[in-house]
Amino acid sequence: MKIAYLSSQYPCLSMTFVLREVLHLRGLGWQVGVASINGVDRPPERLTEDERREAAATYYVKQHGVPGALRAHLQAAFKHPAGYLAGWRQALRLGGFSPRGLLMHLAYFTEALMVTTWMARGGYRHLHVHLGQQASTVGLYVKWVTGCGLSITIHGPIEFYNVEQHLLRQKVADADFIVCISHFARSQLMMLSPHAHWAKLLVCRLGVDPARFAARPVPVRVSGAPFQILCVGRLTPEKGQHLLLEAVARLKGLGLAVHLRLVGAGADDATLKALAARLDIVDAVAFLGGVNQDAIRAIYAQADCFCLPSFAEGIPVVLMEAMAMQIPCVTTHITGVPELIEHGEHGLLVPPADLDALVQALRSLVEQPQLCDRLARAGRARVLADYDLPRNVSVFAKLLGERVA
Amino acid sequence: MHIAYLSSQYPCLSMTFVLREVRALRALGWTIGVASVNDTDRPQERLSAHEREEAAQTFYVKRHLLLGGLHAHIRLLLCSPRRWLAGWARVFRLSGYDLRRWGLQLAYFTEGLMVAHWMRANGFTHLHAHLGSQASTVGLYVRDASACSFSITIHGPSEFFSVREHALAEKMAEADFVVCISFFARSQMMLLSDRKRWPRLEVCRLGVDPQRFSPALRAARVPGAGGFRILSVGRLAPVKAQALLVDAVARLHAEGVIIRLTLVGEGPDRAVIEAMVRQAQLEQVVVLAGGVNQDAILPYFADADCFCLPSFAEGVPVALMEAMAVGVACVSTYVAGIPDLIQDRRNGLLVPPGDLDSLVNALRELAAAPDWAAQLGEAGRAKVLADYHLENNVAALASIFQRRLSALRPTQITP
Repeated sequence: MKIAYLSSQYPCLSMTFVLREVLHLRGLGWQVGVASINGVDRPPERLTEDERREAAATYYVKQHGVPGALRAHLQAAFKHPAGYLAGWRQALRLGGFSPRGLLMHLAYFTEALMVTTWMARGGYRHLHVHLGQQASTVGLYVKWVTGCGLSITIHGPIEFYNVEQHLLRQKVADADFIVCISHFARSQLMMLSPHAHWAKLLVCRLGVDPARFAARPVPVRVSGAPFQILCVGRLTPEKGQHLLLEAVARLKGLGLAVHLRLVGAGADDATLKALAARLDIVDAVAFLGGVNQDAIRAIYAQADCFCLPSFAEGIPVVLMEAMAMQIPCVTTHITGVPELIEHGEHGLLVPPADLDALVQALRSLVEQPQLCDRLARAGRARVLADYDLPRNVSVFAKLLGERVA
Repeated sequence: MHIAYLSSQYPCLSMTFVLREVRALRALGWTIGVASVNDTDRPQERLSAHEREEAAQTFYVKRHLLLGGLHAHIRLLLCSPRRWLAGWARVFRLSGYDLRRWGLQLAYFTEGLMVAHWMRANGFTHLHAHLGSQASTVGLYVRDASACSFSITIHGPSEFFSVREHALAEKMAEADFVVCISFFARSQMMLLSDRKRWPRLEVCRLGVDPQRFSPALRAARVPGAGGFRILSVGRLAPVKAQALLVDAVARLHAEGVIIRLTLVGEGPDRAVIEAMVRQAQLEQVVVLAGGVNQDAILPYFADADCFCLPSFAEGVPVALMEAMAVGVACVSTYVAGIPDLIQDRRNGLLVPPGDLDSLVNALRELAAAPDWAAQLGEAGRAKVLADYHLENNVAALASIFQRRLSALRPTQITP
């Protein structure tokens, strides 16, 4: 079985799930080629071994520049004249009355033509795209030009904030099938599509490898040592880390010994550090920056609890990792998260942006080691039952096998 | 207190909360004027008594759009060309060189000028817009034209589907304060705005009148008589997912569960749902009751064994609060602000949106356990009494207005 993957950036820290999926599919005997619109997000020396190998084998669209683009236009015009014209028609239609929109769509169209020539060289007949944003818009153009098979994995939530711009209706209508990582993601597409198309929308969950993320030995709390809270995620507004800093300040104000580790890099780095200084909790917060997959487990192993106070999410893989390692989690009841965690069963859920509730939840974990232990065990059991990566990729591979000619 | 309200449509079946809020604030002795961009959603004879009263004293912007708009433009151009140009600058900024959007923004600008004129004529210096969509965009232009103070109530979810289109970041920058009806709505505004503006955000919940929506209505009900009766109230629209509910009912019916579904509401999905019902031969099981106004809705709640709202997106649905206040066991979804209102298995049941299996299981479980359904219903009412009591929440809103407006320097409206 042969399949082409398209991603906006590959490999990429915030989308390690694509890499894991590709490697597992190959392990199942699939021949998977990957195209990436943008170059890698880090210099080679900061990539893991797997990532370096992937980067060497990936087709990077933008690397081929203007000459590559022109060549792709010429080739497509000869090889798929009708599809080529259809592509132009769509670009003009979707660009609408806006010069900026027109330029964007010409770029998507051109990138699609380059992907098309790459697919032809490798003999790929089906394209699978991760995420409902730009990359899948490029995928739509590929489909319009060559009529190849097209499928998309929809994660949410970013694409749901601008459904028109991301052409979600059109994507459901024209893709052969859509893989949703949660019922929530599926519901957002159901809302945009006629009842007749609902059968195209499949749910297949992401997961983690429970052998790799094995239950960590319960950390022995030295008396007086602070309760370690860990948060892993890009430092961006949707992750809500500012709120977590305020919660830590409140907990300290209540006389509780807590310490927070923030793993991740991003645009909010400076404002978070400034806030920590203003709240006078610099000693209680460590900013560890971006950490790759090889080094992350050692950090998880030291955590007493994992907290992700996000305002917007798909179903966060970092939560699955923490749960698999048997760390009690506190997060928000948004989007697909309640599908992973039932409040009080596998972790604690609070309303997003509700500082009081967040402080309360963290406090209950600090003060009740038994609660921590119960949630942690149930959390790992939950991951084993429903978010086991090898099992979920096999399910995904079966879905693909049934649908990809 | 003297406040002008602006809504895209007033009165309107799907936004009865605005009407309740306005009337409750007036009951506190405040002067509330209401402007509505569009006309009412129904003809006079289908309005409730309260709605007719409101409609009679509402300023309907579009009724005067051509002449009134022209007049408002000329007036502002002559009196304050700087403000007029500021409005134009916003038109260009928000339309981003897109011709279609340029036309839309020009319309909002014009409507804004007319509202500003109406406010000045009636002595209002504060504008409160309900919803983060069109009405508050018009509000931005009112602000440009008059330098009034300005606030918004954000409900979600529709404004969160097109955050660029609805210029939510710009609204956060312009509004003096923003009232969010749930922590979820607040979180989305936090996500879209600079951290230094977060203090502008307030959370104030909507509510229902627990005396009007009272369990006493159900005294005469025989639970489960004639089958398990499911009620759903809401516009017939994809976002409310009635089609999924019909699928669920078809499954339960096929399993032999004796069941009835009443859908109250009107909307674009009517034809689709009728076709589904015909195709599944459920004419005896599913009833489409059409739109029902507030004067006539109570008997539906009185009769139901369960209330089901399987929405794909919501704010915090008032229909759910009403059902909970009456003591009907509710089944709904984990979306937006709903988990703030319902805690799964404590005061209702929640399922993932779009998950047919879970929805069927939840309904089947309730149908089989009337006592449990009654317990959930009681707990639901307790939740409404505690957190979604209209009178308490309007008092909270009033104190937000008082605190915020007294902190703002009163600004005089110039034309």
